[in-house]
Amino acid sequence: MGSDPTPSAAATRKLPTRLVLGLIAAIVLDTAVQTVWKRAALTLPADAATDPVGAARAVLARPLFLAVAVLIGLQMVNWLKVLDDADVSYALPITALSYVSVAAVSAVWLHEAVTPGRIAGMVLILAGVFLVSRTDHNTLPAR
Amino acid sequence: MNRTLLGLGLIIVCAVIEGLAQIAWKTASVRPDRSRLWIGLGVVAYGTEIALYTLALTLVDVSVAFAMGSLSFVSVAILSRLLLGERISWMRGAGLLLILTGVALMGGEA
Repeated sequence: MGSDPTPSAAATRKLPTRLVLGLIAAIVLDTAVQTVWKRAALTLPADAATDPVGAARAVLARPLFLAVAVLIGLQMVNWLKVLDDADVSYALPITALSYVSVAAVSAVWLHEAVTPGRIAGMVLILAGVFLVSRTDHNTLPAR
Repeated sequence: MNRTLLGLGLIIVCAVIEGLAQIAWKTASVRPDRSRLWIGLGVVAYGTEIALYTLALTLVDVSVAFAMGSLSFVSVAILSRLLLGERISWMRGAGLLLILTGVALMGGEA
């Protein structure tokens, strides 16, 4: 028996703590980005969609949008760290759990509705992302 | 136009733009001679997507907008099939169909 783990052994071995923390951070950061972004968007004028110039000025004047930019930066750095330790096809369906956490946080913080239809839609999307991530691809093997 | 419909339309446009951005960056990796151009186009596409998504968030709930963003999986698959000749396996097709059905359900509840 060699020292290199077989694919099945690799799949069943204990996950490194760093990877687990990175995946949790990815979900937390995804949730923070989306809900803070929505909170920031709520401060824009009601005619933002029809007055892009006014909306752009308003974005530059709102510190919350700066917070969104910082959170997106942190999210990108963390995601690259996660991909150092795991394949994207493994990590992506796990972070799709952000759909659930965003719905939960936005229900509590932003008073958004959680309806049976939305829950069903979310479950289908999660199942779809899982299937897409399990398909064959031409990713180069790790060296 | 109904504000919710406008928001849903913007999210669909964002998904298509994300697909185009991904294609641009993939093209940059296979066309090193023109990589700066394609990377630049990808950056412009992402900038446009951020602006449009911000507008969409003024019109629809974030729990709906974020989940519907998974439409980008569908647009990337279709655009990479059409423009890069990548294949779509039956399992990926089934996954994309599930995503589309879920997005349609979420859109109906927006």
